[in-house]
Amino acid sequence: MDERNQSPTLWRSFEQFEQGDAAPAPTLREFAPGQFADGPDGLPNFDRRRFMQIMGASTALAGAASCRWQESTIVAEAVRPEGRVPGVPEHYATHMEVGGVAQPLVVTVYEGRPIKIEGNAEHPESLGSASLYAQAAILEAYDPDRNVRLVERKDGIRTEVQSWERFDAEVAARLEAAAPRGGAGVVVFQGEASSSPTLARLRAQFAQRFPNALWLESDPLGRDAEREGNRLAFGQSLHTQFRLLGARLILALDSDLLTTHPAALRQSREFAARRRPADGPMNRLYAVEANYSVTGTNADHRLPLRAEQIGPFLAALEAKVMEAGRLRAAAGWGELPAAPTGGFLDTPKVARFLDALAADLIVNRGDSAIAVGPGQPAAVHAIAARLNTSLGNVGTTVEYVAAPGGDRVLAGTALEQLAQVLDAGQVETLLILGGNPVYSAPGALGLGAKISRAGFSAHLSLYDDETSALCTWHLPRAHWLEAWSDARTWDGGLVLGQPLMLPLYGGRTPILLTARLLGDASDGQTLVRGTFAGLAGAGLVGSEDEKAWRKAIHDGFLAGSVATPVAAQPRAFAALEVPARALAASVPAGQLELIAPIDTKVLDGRGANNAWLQELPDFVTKLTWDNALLIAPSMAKELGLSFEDAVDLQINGRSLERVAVYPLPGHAVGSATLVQGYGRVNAGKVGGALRGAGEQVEPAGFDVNVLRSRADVNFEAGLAITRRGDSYELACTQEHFQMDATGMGAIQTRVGEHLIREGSETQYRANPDFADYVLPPQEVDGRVVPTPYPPLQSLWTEHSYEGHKWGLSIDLSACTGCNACVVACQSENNIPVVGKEQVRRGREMHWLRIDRYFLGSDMDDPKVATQPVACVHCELAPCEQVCPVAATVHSDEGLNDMVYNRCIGTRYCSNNCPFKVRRFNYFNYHKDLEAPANEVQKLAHNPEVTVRMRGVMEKCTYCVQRIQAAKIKAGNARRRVRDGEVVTACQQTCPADAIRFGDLNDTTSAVRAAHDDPRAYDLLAYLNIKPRTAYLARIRNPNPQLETQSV
Amino acid sequence: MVTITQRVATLDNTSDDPRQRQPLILGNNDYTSITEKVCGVVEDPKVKKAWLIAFLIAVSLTGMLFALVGYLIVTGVGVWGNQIPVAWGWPIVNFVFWVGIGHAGTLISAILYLFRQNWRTSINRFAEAMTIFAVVCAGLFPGIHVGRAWLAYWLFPIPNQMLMWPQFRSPLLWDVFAVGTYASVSTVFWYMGMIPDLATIRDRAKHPLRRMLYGVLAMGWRGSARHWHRYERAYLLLAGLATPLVLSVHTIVSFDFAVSQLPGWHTTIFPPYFVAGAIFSGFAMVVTLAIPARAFFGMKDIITIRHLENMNKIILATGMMVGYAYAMEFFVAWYSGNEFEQFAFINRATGPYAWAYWIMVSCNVISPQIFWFKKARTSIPIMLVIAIFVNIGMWFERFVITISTLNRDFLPSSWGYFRPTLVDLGMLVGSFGLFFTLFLLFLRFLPMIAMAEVKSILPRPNGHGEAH
Repeated sequence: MDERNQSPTLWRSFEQFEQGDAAPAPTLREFAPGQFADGPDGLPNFDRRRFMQIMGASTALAGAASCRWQESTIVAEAVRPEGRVPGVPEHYATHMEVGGVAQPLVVTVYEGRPIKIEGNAEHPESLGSASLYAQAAILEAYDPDRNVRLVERKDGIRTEVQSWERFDAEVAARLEAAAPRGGAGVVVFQGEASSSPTLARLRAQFAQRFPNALWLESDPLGRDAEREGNRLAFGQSLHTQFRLLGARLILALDSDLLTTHPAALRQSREFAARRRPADGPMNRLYAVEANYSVTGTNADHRLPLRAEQIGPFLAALEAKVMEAGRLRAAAGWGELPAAPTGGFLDTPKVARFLDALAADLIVNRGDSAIAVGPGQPAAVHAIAARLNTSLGNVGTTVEYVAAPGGDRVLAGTALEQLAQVLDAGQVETLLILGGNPVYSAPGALGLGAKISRAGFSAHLSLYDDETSALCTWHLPRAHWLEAWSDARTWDGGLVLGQPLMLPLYGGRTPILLTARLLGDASDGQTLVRGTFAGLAGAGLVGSEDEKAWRKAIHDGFLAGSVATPVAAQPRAFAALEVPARALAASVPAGQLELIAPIDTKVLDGRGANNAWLQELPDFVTKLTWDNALLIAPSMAKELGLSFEDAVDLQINGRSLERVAVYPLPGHAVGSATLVQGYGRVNAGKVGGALRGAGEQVEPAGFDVNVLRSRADVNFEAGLAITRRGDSYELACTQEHFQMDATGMGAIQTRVGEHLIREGSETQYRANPDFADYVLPPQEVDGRVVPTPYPPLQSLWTEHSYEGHKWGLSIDLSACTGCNACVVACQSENNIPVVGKEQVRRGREMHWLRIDRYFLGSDMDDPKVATQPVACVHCELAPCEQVCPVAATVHSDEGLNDMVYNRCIGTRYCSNNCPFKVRRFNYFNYHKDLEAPANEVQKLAHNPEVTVRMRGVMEKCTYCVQRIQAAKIKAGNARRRVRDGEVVTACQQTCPADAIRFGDLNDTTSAVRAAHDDPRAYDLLAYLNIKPRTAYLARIRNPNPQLETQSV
Repeated sequence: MVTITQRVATLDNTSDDPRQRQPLILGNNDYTSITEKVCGVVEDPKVKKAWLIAFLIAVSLTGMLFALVGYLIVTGVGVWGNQIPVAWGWPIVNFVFWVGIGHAGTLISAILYLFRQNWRTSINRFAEAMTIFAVVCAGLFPGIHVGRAWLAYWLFPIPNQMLMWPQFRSPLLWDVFAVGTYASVSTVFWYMGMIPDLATIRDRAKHPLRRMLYGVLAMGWRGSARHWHRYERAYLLLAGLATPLVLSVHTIVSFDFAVSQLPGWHTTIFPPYFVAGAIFSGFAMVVTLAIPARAFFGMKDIITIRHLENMNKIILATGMMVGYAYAMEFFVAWYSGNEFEQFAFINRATGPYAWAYWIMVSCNVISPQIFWFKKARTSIPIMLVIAIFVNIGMWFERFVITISTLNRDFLPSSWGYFRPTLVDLGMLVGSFGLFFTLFLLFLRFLPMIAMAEVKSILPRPNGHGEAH
């Protein structure tokens, strides 16, 4: 269906006219080409007759502008399809592939335009949740910066080309020429990993036809280190599956199990399920990492170590566990190598942590899970696999399944190979399918300079980006919302994707492009369905018939296709190489470690032009629109650096100038983190555009890739930081921690006592309602008793809520602070993006924010507390009382309503709001959408929610449009709204299932139960505002052995 | 016995010798000379260069103010530095500042009148004018401060097709009524007091146009005994009406803050504290304006050092009330045991806006202490400097109350630092431009001194006076 130019019956351009097989009137065919073939050539000999001819032809052709290509429709709408009601949204299942792993999704479609992306509630990998990146993709689909046409670059001249014919012909000719050599000289570089069976099938066909062609795959988000580590340990390329529901102890080594892991949604849910103390014994999470991950902020115990120390730490831990637990590794692994000792392992803090952790692992053997992050070398993954096996975790908390396409070369090797063949001048035809290797490959490879050595290069991508700029052709890619696709989830299950709209800008998917290379002109549906039928032949019963296909498309996935765990056979591997500097407790200032992890928001930079992602506050730094060099506060002090100082970075001969410093409490001393994904020069009007012809936009953040030399690990030693003397302004949504003593003191006392109440599991078991006792214990009749806050009374009769009484609850114990709800809210409620300068002014518009506090006296190892805060819908709302025009009023269901068209914008309500959750439209933040080129972005708006004008206040509505929809539905059926029928956007996507919403009058509702939970408390209850959002105290489960150490 | 003529040479009437009541008007002035002097300014056919320069500067600043207002309305209130959490910024600071300035005028003309403080007669006219112009400046800000200025009329209880009343529980609405009443009553009071003087100018006018204009303004005043009788009655009544307004306006303005629940705003001391502060700043402004005006227009013998000294005494007294309020706020915060309340005040004095707090304390509490010394009270340069300090200090007081309270409230996550923009600064400067434009026009075209009232405190003519 995106093959719009397949058989034109009318022509739209002269290229098409000449090359197409259309048959226009013969007179025109003879007349036109000679007259105005390629523009101004014929102009100098211009006489009157010729002028008249051209004018006549122009007039005749004016009508051609209204011609359209032939469209194919999935469902013809000559008659209204059954069940389709205009104005009522429809939901379709599809998926999105990130780093070669599919996320099952459901997309809400209004009148043929997708407006919201949610997780597929039927699929066990999602259960309704979607990652923040998948949710923000709706904005990407409507991005006006997406390239509309093919672009040809010849001799430095950029030409936009209307149709695919010329490109197809050129490639076909090149492939034909290469065919006798078996395709030698042809390189297909897949810049994004894919688990698509269709692509794999086409790739196999391609390899068959062109056996000597090189097909490489390298995705910065791929998890090749893990695959390779498992291959080292078991001789097979395997994916590690964690079943955290059964895990009593989780050890995350530089690993973000809860956000960036491909199965993070399921893992978050499983992890959070065991953080609710009422539901049984809790799990305990240890994290060892240099820079914070979401997992690290949730850890019961976190040890900041340099990334290079993770390997030695794990090796030492393994030795300790094996020895203390009298365990024996499986015979296949042979005698275990001697573990590293000394250095940092002997520092009291690390030694203590190691001892306690080892003892805990032994106690919980069989119920523990050890995870290593993708940035660590394969050997570390191998050790983790061995330790997991030795502890008996395999089969209970850890499973191994075959990795799709496991035989391919590693991502890092593939990149090096590409650089090598380009260098050797062996590449005649280079096709890059997706990705942006020129930006994301390590700078040391110098890929940018080498691409031009290919005689012909074409880059398929959504944007005319850094890589496209260096290729001869840029090919517009169809967004996944516009195309047929298939892929596999992390557990190996097959998911199917269907187009939710016609491609806005034309374009092909990698599948379609590959099919065209093979001369296959069939459309996406045929291709995917062909694969599906083939898979059914491979043992999936019943998919031959139409019903199975229809069901799979309807569900978005094929039930029962999950990969079966492999019984992995141990195989000996070499001991971990531990360089001396990795063991050193501290490193010299000029020889620091640079860590370049994937960003949690824009990933490897593919989300850089997505304004929602750019403006989303980072989960720990609360930075927007930039990355920054994160270093430990003590190291910043030592280097004389403070927040927003600009520095120059040098590492092994490569350098990066003017990078902003952000001293981050809890960062490992001796290393510095600069996340990938920023500093893009050809991203677009949002992420940065310096090289294009249009408006110049400063890049957001700094490009760490120029400093990197290896693609297989994300850290490297030898970094020197030089202070420049100037500064670079950063935009944080929360004041950074470097504040005066007055403020710091208040945070320490306030957060623990009032805002975020925390206790240990032991404390909870002894006293489940400890959160209510916030006042100092009092002496009554000679006994010291805990004091709850005295009940507050109103002077007047309060409202009674007879009908519904909406309320929400947030379980802080389950909440991981992953930010998914913030994007869900933004997408659902048409929340505008304001830009870096406005964020610096404190005018960000997010209705829901995640507050983050550092607690404790040790700046280098603090505790992190997070808390989502939106309007809590106070029953006695302070905002309502002060509005002079009654623009914010209470509904009889207890909602604190905001009447936009009554608001005149005095902002008094915001002043009087103790939570400062109200957001004001200081400008017309939707003004950009008025430009004709940007109007397409209006399509992303939710038609159920007003787009607010300038000068009015706005805030969380408890998704009142969803409440109304449920009430109308229930009203039509003449019944009450059932519990669980109203699901707010934040609740819907929460992977940790921490949010409950419903009717507090309904005694059986989940939210009522949460409000009655002994852990429940109200924020700032002493103001007697009676918030409708209750928080459930966070329960941590510290190891008593380490208890005294943690603050 | 010392005679008046003996003292004239020194122009000093500041002696506090209890045996001798000091004259309030010096320099051999009689009814005629007062009329000549005051009317002379209005009737002078030549435009004085200094006045013209001052006027041109003021008018251009006013132009800038209105250009900025236009820009603001077209673009959005984001052109200011306001943000979340500091949703009220300089515009509200300026509003409270200007409303406060206004207070001295009404106090002088109404309360001091009721207390029979005769020295008020020399300064009441232009203090009242100052009040009205200050209220004009103040009134500008709330109107343009709202996000949708074109709907600001919704603040008024106007019957409408939406069947919507304003929300009467909101202090902002009380503000609309309080400031509105105040502006109208003080304007009527000022204008009514001016009628006999306008009639004098009318009678002296030579040009028919002037005669007609001042004639219309004088509303047919003929100076008959009946006129005077009615006039005095009405004046007394209006003074009685205006007196509670002096107290109510700033009380209600303080409710904008006190009725909300923010720590640092939610205090019962605000109404008296705001009123004292308003009188304090108002008198400082009268002094600031009187010193150049009396020198420039040759009125040193009518607005004497004694007048200025009296005002300085009031500045000293109200300055100490304000200082007491500052101290009491801290005490109450400590005594309340509420840690949010305590933090709000500690944060004022030691947090990110400590500089503003200490500017406020030095200007408002410390600097007026010099007025304990008579030498300082009667020295023109010193009192001018102190009066300007007090003006600055009182602006900062409103800044501290508004901004350093809002910038850090309950949840540390929403704390933020407010930075003003150039538009903020331009509007503050522009509001002074507007104020001085109006004031300079007043000085030139209306009698700046209440001739009729001043004459009432002169010794009676015909030489009988000394017999009393």
